Amino acid sequence: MKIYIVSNGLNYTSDQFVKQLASIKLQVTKATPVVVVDERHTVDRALVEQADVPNSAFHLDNYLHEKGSIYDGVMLVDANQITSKLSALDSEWVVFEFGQNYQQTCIDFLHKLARYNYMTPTLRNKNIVFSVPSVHLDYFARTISESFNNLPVNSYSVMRSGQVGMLMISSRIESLFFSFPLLFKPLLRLKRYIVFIYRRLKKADSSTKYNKDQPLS
Amino acid sequence: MTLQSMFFDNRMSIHPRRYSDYQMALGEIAMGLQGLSLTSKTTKSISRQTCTEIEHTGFCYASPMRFTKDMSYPTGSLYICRKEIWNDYPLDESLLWTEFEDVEFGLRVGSFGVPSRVNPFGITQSVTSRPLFGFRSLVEMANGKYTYTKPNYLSLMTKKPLLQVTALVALTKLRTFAGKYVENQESLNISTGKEVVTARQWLELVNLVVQQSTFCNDTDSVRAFIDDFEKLILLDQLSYTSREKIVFHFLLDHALAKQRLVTSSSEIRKMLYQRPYQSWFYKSLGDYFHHNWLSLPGIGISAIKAYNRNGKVFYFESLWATVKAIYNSTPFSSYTERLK
Repeated sequence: MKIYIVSNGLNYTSDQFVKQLASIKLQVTKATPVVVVDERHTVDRALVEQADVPNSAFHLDNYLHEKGSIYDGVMLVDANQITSKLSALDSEWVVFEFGQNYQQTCIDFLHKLARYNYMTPTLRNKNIVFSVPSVHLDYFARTISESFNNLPVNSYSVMRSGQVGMLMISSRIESLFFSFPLLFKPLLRLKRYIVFIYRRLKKADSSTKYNKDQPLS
Repeated sequence: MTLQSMFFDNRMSIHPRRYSDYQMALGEIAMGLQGLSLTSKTTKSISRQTCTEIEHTGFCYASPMRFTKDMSYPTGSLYICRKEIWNDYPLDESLLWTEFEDVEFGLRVGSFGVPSRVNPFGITQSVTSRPLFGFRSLVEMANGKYTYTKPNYLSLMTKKPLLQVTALVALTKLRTFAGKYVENQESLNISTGKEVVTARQWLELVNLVVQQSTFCNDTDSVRAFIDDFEKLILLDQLSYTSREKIVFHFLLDHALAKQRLVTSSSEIRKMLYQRPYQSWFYKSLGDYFHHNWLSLPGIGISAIKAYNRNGKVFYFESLWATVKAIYNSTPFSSYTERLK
């Protein structure tokens, strides 16, 4: 799979874009390559006259819930729309036009598309083009690269996290715990009793509250 | 039929534990879930698709003094049987090693009226062990109640190597893994000339390599990554449950899943319980064989301790028989071939 993120500030049709992007040679990488194309890039006139590269273009609006689903002010994308629209795909190039949709709606779409790609192989040998507002170009590029790939963490962050140290200490404590069952068993039993009594009391409390709310008959 | 099996973590024959001989299922296999059989158009509860659920069934070491027909089976370590029985009831060839082929065999044969039993007057010793089983495991006692057998985590004795590879081979495998997944290999310092790598050094190196790896986030790539992680880094079997969990974690939050792959792995935790400081790799194969004279007091102590709890973890007929059984089954270093 190859991913291209193109600024929609360029007034070209999806056919013109795809034709030009198809001629770009990409470096071989271990992860899905993500290429950012901004406004400074212009379509080569010679290419425009060449034959079209078959592609399927979609608008983000096509993927929203039909009746409109809003959560925390964000229009949500319907994951089943993604499955039904993309399962019928027959061309090598897929273009998604984000238009002027709210940023969080676009992110929701990207996450759901990445999840679809994780589970279904349809998009894995296709070329995907995202046409996004130029303001969000870098932000979306980063989000897309993060959602479709497992990226490396730098060695300083790994060292600073102290994960291995924590693993060593916790495993020592746990092995002590397993080695002295006589010492730890009473504590576990005590904890179990306390939790049991707490739950009983909580249940009794909630049932009395429920009775209070009942209208008197 | 099979024999009881014993394993010592150290070469002094102290702290014996039960190791892979005769087990029983604690409930219905795979909780009634069925999978397709590869060889015939039928469904079976033990098949490749149901391996994760079979792990959830729960198994424990069965007592040699008790017999539950439909529940107990000899683990694939040792079978002693008549040739006719083996020819009439062969192992299911569609199941591979670790795909519960021993459980399937034991239960199938049991249903045809061939009981699986332990000869309580014989014993075997395992020279090596799989780290996956080096954890507290449930044992059925002769009275029907349960107890545990586990390695001594607090023992300060030098122990046998945990993994059956040398440090050089392990580091070479790690380099192969890094070559496949790490884009910028110059940032990693994987020495291949080191002969001793402590547990902590190894874990730090492995964690760094895993965190720096780059790959696509889809089911095929993640599964291939897990396979390589198991083969080239863990150097032991990854349980089916862990494998399923990792694939789920990569779907839900892949950055966090990769960050925690090494440090929250239950397999690595089990290895660390067993060898917290010592190197996990062997220098020579002699590291697995017991000292000739130094292990004699250990054999005596272990025999007294085992006989004192007779019928719990192990079963022996008398104290003298216990000493004889342990002594006769000990793999002494004098048995190994020496270069002249």
